[in-house]
Amino acid sequence: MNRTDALADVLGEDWTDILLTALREYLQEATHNDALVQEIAAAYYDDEVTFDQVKSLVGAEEAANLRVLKQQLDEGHIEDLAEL
Amino acid sequence: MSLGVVGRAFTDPLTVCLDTYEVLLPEIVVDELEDIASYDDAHGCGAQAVLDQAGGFSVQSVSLDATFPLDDGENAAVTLANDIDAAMLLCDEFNQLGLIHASLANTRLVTTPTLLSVFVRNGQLDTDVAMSSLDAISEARSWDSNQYVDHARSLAT
Repeated sequence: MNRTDALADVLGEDWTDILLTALREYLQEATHNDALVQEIAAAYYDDEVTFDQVKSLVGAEEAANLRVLKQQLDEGHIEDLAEL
Repeated sequence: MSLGVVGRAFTDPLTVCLDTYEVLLPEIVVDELEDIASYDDAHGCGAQAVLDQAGGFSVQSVSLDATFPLDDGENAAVTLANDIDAAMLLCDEFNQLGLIHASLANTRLVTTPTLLSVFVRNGQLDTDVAMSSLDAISEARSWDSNQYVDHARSLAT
């Protein structure tokens, strides 16, 4: 916390600004982390998070990939495929 | 290539696939398989196993649709599927599936783990064989930490 105070003085910024910037950078980095993307995917497959939440975390393109994979796990989809 | 990794030690999923469906491959995908088959690893063996069963599938040349932002192999597969109005497209390019799905007109997209559970459901493959096949494929394709593959295991039981 002392370091945050010191950094706020150095940058002439608010404490909140520094924390928000740090959080934003953390989230940006985290969503490019494969292990975390897989955690997000698992939560999505288990219906713990919505597609919109996934999209806001990993971006539209990756979210679209995960949506197709979730569909691959759908019982109804597998039944349909089994009849082809 | 995924199914080829498993080889022919038992009623293997590659044979089930070729016996069950009328399988069509774009020529460019066969070219890719020939390239991969020259490597002395699991991918090479998998590709060679598919080429060894060339009697089980047809090959067709496809003119690529330059508007698809996909690799040539995927591009040709999607174009061919749309051209012939294929029932299914088997594709394991997990990082491009959204785009591939959106590019297909009437064709249903299927990935290998799901196809294995379809074979189990239809009584064409034992659960044990599907599981051990998926283990071998996962290892070859580095799918160990993939949550979709992990979830797909519960579908094949």
